[in-house]
Amino acid sequence: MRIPPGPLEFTRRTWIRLVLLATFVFLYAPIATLVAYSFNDSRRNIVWRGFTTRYYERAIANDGLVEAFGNSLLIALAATVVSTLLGAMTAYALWRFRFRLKPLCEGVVMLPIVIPEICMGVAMLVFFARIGWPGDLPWPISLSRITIAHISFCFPFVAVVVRARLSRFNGELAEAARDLGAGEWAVVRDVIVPHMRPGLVAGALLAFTLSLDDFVITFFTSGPDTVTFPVKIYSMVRFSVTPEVNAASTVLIVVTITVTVVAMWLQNRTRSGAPP
Amino acid sequence: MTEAVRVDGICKRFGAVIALADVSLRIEAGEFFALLGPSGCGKSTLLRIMAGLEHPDRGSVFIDGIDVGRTPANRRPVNMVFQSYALFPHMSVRSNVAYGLRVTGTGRAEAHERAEAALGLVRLAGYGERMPDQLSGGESQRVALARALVKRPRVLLLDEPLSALDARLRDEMRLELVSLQKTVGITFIIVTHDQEEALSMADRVAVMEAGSIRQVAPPAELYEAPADRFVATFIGQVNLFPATVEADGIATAHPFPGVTAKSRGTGAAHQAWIAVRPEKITMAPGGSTPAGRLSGVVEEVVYRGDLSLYLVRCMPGPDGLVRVSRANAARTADRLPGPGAEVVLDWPEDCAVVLAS
Repeated sequence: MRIPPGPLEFTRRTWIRLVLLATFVFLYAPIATLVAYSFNDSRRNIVWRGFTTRYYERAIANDGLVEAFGNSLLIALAATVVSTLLGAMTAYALWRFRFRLKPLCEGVVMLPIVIPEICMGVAMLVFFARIGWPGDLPWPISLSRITIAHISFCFPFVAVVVRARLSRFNGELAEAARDLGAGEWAVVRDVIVPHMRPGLVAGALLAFTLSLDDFVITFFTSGPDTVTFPVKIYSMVRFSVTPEVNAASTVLIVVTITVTVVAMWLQNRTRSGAPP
Repeated sequence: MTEAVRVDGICKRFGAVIALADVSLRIEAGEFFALLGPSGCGKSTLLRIMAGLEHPDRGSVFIDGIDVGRTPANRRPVNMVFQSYALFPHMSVRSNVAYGLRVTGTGRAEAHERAEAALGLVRLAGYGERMPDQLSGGESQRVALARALVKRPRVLLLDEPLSALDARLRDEMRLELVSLQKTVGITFIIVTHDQEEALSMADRVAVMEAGSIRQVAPPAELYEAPADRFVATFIGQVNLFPATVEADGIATAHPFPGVTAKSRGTGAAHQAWIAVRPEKITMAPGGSTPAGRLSGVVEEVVYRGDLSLYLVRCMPGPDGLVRVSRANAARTADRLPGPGAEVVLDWPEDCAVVLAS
């Protein structure tokens, strides 16, 4: 016998289920199509003509694409490490200390989040041109312009996330550590940083994904020898949307999801069911 | 006896709020001392000043006779049990207890050994591997105690340590804290707003109100000879009769000439109060002899299990109600008068205390 849904069992109502389904289709149909058509055996990416992994091989054989991918990963890693450190320190300073113009400082730190990316991009371009940042440096150092630009828009995100985490810190924990003999540094190391950790992981993830797929700001700060993955894809799409582009994009999606899953797993393991 | 802690003329204000107004106090070594008062009376602030977590605006703190005004919290020979227990959530119970030793340079092996010993002391041997979120409230409380005691402090400070526990566990922990204090012989200073807690555990109690100390005395003295109206009403129940003190030191209540008491002080006073505890009052049926000090009609009986509280109307108006409590010694039959019964109240002369303020 079928039991009729209770007043709060929304997930058992047909219309709610339909809305849910529509939402998921809306969110994921384009991505699913992109992934599916990366296996399409056709040069023109419009009609399904059979399964192949040929375009993955083509993508891997494309030196320009692989180089751009390497550049993107390197930039994302460097930007993540630096912006996580900077963001964490900023958040700690804003949380721990009271000083004049603190609300203003807090606002200024958050500003890059709301400034339109196109303006950030132009500003970066003008800035590097004005100070005469050399454009012809040897390879890894040649990425420094993009990396610096990425750090500048990534670290506020880290700061926001870590700051939110710190606002839930129980001050008695720090006092208990002090009372038990810990100096200022030991309190930070043994109590505050462990509390910040979920925020650090989340912030670092955010920074990594933001940096990895940023197009606008990167476009303004990259040179002919420093092409990143999104910029490369853009230049490929300008000629034609081939399954090769789909394949490369799928790889990027897989990398992002993998990193996210690993980070979340690490976080769960270290917390071992502790209340948030 | 030697002194463990002395505070001298401590003043502290938070913005416009005066938390402590010129507080001085001396606590003996090995004493179980309680700071008792309503919330916001400054008792926790005083404790935090002793711990070094708060700095007084004026005044000094001496621990073992040494001025610790310039000693930061992490170098003071005192440890604290926090109200929220403040166990480090990312460390095991053993690491929590050993933390205070490890952070000050004790080797791992020795620290763990002493941590285990401290856990044994609070009857939590074998809990070392657990995480704080796997502990019950009572167990967390014991870990917090072990963590503070493992450093062998000169003074242990406890900030409302039992307030988060349920009533049954609280009674149990009270006895345990007292026996623990006897075992380790460390001076305990406990902050509480629960008068029963303070009376049943402490050797001496300081009653605080609005940033100052009203009375410091052993529990029995606090109860039987309160210094003023605040102490008398804050601890237990009391009947207060407005009175006038004559030059011979005899106080007489205004509307009740039968209510008299001998003043401890000297000199006449226009405004004073005579305080009588409800359980000191005897109750007899109306019209019996001797006539007693007051007569009235039982208005209400509040049954409380071990005792019943009788509200006796001796006069119209808010001041005319007298509280009498009687132990329910017999089961049911000869429980005393119900509502409406006329009664005569009396008490021994020395049970009435004159309060000047």
